[in-house]
Amino acid sequence: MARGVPGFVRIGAALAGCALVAACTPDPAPPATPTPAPPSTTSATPSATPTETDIERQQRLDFEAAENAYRASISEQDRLARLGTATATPELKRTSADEYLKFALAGLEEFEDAGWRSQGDSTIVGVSRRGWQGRRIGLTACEDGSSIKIRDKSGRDVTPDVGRKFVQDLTVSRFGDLWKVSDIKSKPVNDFKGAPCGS
Amino acid sequence: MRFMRFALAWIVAVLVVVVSPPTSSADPRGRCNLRTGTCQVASERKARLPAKELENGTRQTYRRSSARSDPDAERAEFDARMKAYADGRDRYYACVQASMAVSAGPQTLCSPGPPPPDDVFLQGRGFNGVGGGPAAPLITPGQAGAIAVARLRLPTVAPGIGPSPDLNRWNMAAVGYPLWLWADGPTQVGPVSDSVAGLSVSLQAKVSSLTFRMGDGTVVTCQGDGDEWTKSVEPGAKAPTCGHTYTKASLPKGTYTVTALTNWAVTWTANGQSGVINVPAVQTTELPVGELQVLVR
Repeated sequence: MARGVPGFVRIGAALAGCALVAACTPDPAPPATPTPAPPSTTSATPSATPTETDIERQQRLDFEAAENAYRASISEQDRLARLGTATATPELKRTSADEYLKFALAGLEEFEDAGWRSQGDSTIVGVSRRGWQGRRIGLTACEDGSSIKIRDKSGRDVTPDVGRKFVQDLTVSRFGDLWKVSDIKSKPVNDFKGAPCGS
Repeated sequence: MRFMRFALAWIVAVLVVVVSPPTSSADPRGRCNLRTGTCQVASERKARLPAKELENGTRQTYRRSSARSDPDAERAEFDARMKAYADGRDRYYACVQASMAVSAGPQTLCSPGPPPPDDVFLQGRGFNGVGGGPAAPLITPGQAGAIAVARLRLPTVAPGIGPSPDLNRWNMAAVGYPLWLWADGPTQVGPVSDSVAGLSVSLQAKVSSLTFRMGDGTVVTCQGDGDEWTKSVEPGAKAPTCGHTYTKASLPKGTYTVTALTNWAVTWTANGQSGVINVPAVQTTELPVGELQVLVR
């Protein structure tokens, strides 16, 4: 290797370092590879890669199962809200447990006690993965209930005039072979900009 | 005069109650219903449960046997459950560790073993860590420690990789550029207290090591929680304890899936005894890595 090369490498590396942390000028040449799209943080399931390990595959399957349980629970709650009934159906118990199940039933009780029925479905804007600890998974879901109407027994529109967009931190726990949503912490939001689950 | 003062105080109290603004039903820490927009805040959570919910599997009840005939049998059952839990936990941890190795063995899933006996089991059988006597089987400090560790909710720690691709215009890490790796999040917990069957357990958790599977076939294992990269780091400086330099780009095909295994060492202390139980936690992130060409004139 020629004597001048080490100096070239050092200068090159310094320039590259500056460029990678946007710390100095002049800017170096553009990269050889095209600028990629930012990685998705929504619920798209990545396909298995040839280098996927046991743990990566297990994580992927667990996250998928947890998210499916959450979506199925919301779907069942929507169905029960349309019927105006607060029943712990097999589907609800299959997908929900502990504090989250109590919370879901309390919400449906509100409907049943008041004789309300809902029209329309919840919108899950996106679901992002927050963490995995073997028997427990953290998901963050952006939920939007803005399109849901609520009618009383006489058919009158009693939809509340309040914001109904939430960033929900969900805990999904493993019960035997089933994943069930077990807890929820909510944050009311005006929009989902900047939320990890926002599209 | 005294009566006047009393009456005035009573009137003020009534006015305070009547004219106080309603408390907001939206609490960032509460549970909010997206259909009604109402939120259940911590102080308002009701203990009652709807009658229809009181079916098998939806509510835990404490079963207490009126005539506990054989405390030795209950003790044996408890010990067996604890052993099954501990064995399953150790197998699971070993499996997780092995799965992070470059040359992983046959493709098997790491299944968490059975959970430890919960409060329903313990209270239903009158397990009592203090006092005791022939009618109340004792729980050992080690068993209480294991149960408390299983209950402990550890914070989520994300894989810290710096400098972040977000800092440059190309949103990527670069081949040949040294990356710093660390545990991004709280890396110490406690001391916190728990009570298991009447026995007080103190817990303290700390990230003891990190293992990063970088997605390019490389595995990096570091003791401790790594060193966080900051903008004050000299460009191109290598991480002192935990880092990696990619030699091949992932772009334009895609990104490298970086899997980080955080090993938490949880120390339990109960009744003068202590021990350490390791708890693994895994997170992944996607990292685009490209090549950066530098022109020399």
